[in-house]
Amino acid sequence: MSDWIPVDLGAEERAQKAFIRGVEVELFASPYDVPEAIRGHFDEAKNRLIIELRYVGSEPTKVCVYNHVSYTIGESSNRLYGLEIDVHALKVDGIGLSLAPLQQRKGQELSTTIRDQVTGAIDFLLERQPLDIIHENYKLAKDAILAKQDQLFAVA
Amino acid sequence: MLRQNVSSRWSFVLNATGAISSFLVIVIGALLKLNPTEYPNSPTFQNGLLLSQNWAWLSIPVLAVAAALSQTIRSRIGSNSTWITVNYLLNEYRDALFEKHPTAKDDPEYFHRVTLFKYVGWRWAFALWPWTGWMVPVARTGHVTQSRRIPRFRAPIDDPDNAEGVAGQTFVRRRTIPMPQLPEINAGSSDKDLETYCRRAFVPYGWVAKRVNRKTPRAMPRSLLGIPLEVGGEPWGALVVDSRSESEISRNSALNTIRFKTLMDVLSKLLQ
Repeated sequence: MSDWIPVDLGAEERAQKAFIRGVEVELFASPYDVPEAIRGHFDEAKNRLIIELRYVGSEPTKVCVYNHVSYTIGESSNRLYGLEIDVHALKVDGIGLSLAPLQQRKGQELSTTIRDQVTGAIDFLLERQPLDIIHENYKLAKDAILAKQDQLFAVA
Repeated sequence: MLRQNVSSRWSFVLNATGAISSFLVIVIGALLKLNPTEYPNSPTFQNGLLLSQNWAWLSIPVLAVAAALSQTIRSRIGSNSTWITVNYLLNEYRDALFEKHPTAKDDPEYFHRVTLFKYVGWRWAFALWPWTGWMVPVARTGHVTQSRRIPRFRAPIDDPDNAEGVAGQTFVRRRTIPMPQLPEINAGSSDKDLETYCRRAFVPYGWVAKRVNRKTPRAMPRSLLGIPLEVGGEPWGALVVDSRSESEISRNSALNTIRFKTLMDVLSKLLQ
């Protein structure tokens, strides 16, 4: 299991304009929605890429599976706590190769492909989830993955 | 009254009630096994035994209910040690939050406060309806301004648009809401300033006017910051930072200090 990588998105400075009772105000993400650390590793036995997100609070989670991706979601908040991507089923590189040979052969390309799959998986959640409050968390989770992609997908 | 004050005043009484009631139930239950006629040489004990047995049908259920009730009330208001810890954490957080504030070092402590509000579905009050959906203060920093006059704010979950105060809006929206540079309000303030204050702080005009026009006017904060609070992923309440300085309360300090993360983690555990 890899170490947690601290994430500082500066989310507390990202305002969203809103009108409350006719007054324009700036709203900021709940501190519970902002990932504070992230980690990822490949489970070679299962051929799965596992990404986990850590937040200030904790809660019981449930696992939802859509399109070869297992999402670990907060039971109460629907916050994204983790992703498990079936690399084999995604047929990375179009031929469904296992990760190890790919790591040796074309790391940079694989990193980009996997990153796109991961962010695509979050985009899928964003499309499915109509609630604005959860949108914010999914966007922040995606931003955290993109901000730390070099460390997360450093497979080469 | 703040939950921390209620707990410190009543936890001993409730603990004692629970313990004594439970003990008496056991003793009275055991005495039922004794036969009073076997103690002719101790008339006092015999009479006491008879009295205990004759009234056992009433005393045992009443004492059992008293024990259960005291335990329920105690768990609802929280233990005294929990609230002492919460208060300590809030004070630490307040110090971390205002240590770089331009005026806070020279101001009295109560000029810059942190109040913990809890959402309650039902509030018992000597007030007109509505009693449902309120943010009630349960803990506050410092040793003053702890009275029952700390305002409560409406946060109706079936009508979130009309949630009042930064506390209410923070709770219903689950967002961090800063509200700096509110106008200074006192008994001589113009209607326009009062109106601006009320609109920006999401509070009713009549409520603010009453507070500043009373014999002993209440100072109104010039800057507010609401932070949503969750327990186990569920919205629980809000932390409201208020300051008499109009300077914006730094969100960066508020959310990035290590004390904030500690506070959130410990509160989540303590308040479950």
